[in-house]
Amino acid sequence: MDAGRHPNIELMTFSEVAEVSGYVGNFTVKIRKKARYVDHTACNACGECAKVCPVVRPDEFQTGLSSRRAIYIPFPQAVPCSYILNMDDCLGNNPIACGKCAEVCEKKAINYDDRDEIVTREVGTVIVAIGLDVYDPTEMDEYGYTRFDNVITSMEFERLICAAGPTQGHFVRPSDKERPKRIGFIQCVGSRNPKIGRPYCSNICCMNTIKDTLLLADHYPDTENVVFYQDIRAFGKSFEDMFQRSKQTGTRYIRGLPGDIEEDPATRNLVVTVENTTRGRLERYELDMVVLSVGVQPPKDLAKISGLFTLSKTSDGFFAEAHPKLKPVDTAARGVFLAGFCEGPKDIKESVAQAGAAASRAGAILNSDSIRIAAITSVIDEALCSKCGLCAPVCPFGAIHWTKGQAATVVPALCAGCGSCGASCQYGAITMRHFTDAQLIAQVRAILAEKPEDKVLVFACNWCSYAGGDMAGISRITYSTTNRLIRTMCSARVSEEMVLEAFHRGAPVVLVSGCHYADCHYINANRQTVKRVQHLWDTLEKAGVRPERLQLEWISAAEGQKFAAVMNRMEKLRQTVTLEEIAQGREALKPKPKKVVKQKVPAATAEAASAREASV
Amino acid sequence: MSAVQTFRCMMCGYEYEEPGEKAEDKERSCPKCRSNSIRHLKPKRPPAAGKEPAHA
Repeated sequence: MDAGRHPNIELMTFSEVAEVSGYVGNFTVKIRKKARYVDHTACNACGECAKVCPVVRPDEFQTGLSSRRAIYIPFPQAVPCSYILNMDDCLGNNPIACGKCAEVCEKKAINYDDRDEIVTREVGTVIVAIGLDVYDPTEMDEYGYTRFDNVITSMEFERLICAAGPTQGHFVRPSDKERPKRIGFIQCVGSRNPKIGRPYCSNICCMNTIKDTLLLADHYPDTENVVFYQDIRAFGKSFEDMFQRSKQTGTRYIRGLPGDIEEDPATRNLVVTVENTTRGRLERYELDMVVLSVGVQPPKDLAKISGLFTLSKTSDGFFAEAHPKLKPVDTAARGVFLAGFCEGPKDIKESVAQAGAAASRAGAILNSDSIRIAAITSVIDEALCSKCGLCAPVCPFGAIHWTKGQAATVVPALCAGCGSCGASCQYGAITMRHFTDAQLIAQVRAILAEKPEDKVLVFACNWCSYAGGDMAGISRITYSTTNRLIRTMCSARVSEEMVLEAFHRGAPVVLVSGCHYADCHYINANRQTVKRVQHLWDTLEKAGVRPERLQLEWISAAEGQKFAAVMNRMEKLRQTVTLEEIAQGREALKPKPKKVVKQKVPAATAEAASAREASV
Repeated sequence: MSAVQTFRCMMCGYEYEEPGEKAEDKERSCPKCRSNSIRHLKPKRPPAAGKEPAHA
C-alpha cells in the first residue's frame, strides 16, 4: 500500500507485460492493462454492487472456503481499493444480461464497455518478482485430499485460523464445523519428491508448520499436534528456538511420511498409517484433521516472462541467476534483476533482502550515464554477410536483429559475448572480438605444430570447464599432462571448422567441454554446442574418421575431480588412436574454405565489363 | 508425449533408449560410465517405395 502511495512509483495492478524490446537502459515495455469494468477512480468501495450481484463463485483468496460475487474486491488489502467485475463470471455484458450492479452504483463506476488497454513505458532496468504458485496435492491420492473433507492444505489452514478468514479465526474442521482436537501435519507434500518432478526443498514449509503448531498451542492449548516429517529444516536465525518451543508445547514430531490415510465413515476421523523411522515400526494415528504442508512451484507465467526477457531457468524451473554467489540477483540478460520466489524457494526475510539488493543493482545502472560492457561482443561485417539470418536464432539474448533480405546487425548492449553466432556463420561475417576465428585456429595450429599425436586438444569454456581445470590445479589433483586447453567464453563458440582443423592437423582426440545445462552463463547457448557436436559426429563418420575421437563433457567450476578424471579418460582414449587413423583423418578432413557471398553484378557494370573485354 | 529415442555413449559405446525429441533437450549422461558424450542415433529411413535394394 505504501508503494501505491509513493509519488515515484506507478503501480499497475491487474496488468501483465505483453511485449519487451530494447536493452539495458532502453527497455520499451508494452503492458496490457486488463479491463476491470469498474472505474477505480470513481468507485468508493461501498459494496452495494456486490450485494445485488446474483452470481456466487468460490473466493480464490479464501482458497474456496467462502464465496464471492462476480463483482468483488479480490482481497482486503487490494490496491486500488476498488471493485472489479470478473467478466468470465458475469452473466454477460454483450448484451447486458443482468445490469443490477450498474443500477445500484451511485457513482456510475460500472462500465460494461471497458476493454483491455495496451500502455507503453520506457524503463532503464527491470526487476522480475513474479512470485510463486502453491503445489496442488490432488495428484497425491494417498493423502486423500480430494476424497476426505478433513484433509486440508497449509494454505487452507492459514485462512481458517486467520481472524479475517471465512470463519473469523475459529478453527473448525470442514466436515462438521467442530473444533478438531487432534491435528496431524504432513510435511514435504510436493517437495523433495523426484517421483512427481519436484526434487527441490520448498524451504518454507517446515517453519510454516512449526509456526502453525505454536498458533494452535496459543489459541487452543488442549489441541494435540503431530507432525510427520522426513527432516526438519530450521536453519534460519531463531528458527531452532521456534522448533524447540513447538516441541515444548507438546507437539509430537514423528520421523516418517505417511503411506496411507483412511477415513472412519462414522466419525469422519482420519487414520494415518506411518512408518516411524526413528523407532523402526509401523504406527497408526487417529486424527480429527490432517494438514498437508504443501510445497511451492514456479509460477505458471514463468515460461512466458522467461521468453519476454530472455531469462534462463534452472533444472527445477525457477529463474537462474547470473552467478549463484557473486551475482545472486542479476540475470544473464543485462539490466534485468530477480527478487523473491521466482529465483528459488526462500522465506520473507530472504525475499526482502533480495528485493533490496535488486533495487540497489538497478539503481546503480539508472544513476550512471553509461554502462560498461566487456569488449568481447560480436561484430558483423555487412559485406560478408549472406543475409541468411541463421545467426539470429542461435543468439540466446536476442542481440542479433535480422530481417529478410538485409544483413544482420548486433546490438552490443545486448550481446554477452558467447560467440554462438560466430560459430554458426559459415561466411566468416561474424567476428567475436578477442576470440576471433583466426585467433582460435591459430591456437589450434600452434598446439598441434609439433608431435600432434601426443596431445589431446581441449576446448574449455571460460566459466566452468576452464575454471574446473583451475580447481583441479589448486586442489593439487594430478592428471595426465597431454591435454592442451584452448579457452573460449562459451563452448558454443567452438565452430565445426575449428574441430575439423584440429583433426586435419593431426589431433588424435578433441574434447569440447562446457558448463552443465543448469549453469550455462549464456542462458542456453550450450544447447548449440550439442547440436554442433552431433553434426560433427555425423561428419566424421561420413569421412571415415572414428567419431569417438571427438568427445563432449560438462564440467563445472567446482568439479576439479571430474576435470582430472575426464583428462585421464581422454588420455586413455588418445592411446587407442593409431598413427594410421590420425593420418587418415588428416587426409579426409581437409578444411573447407569459408563460403563467399555471391554479389549480384548490376547490369550496367556487366555491360561495361564485356565492352572492356571486347576492346582488349 | 515425446517419442523414445536411441542414444549411444561415445565413450563406452553403451546404447540406451530415453524419451525425448532432440539430443539437446536435456543434459544427458551415460547411465553406465557417466560420460556426457551422448550421440543421438537418428532412426534410419526406410528405403523409398518402389526402389529395390541393390543385390550383389
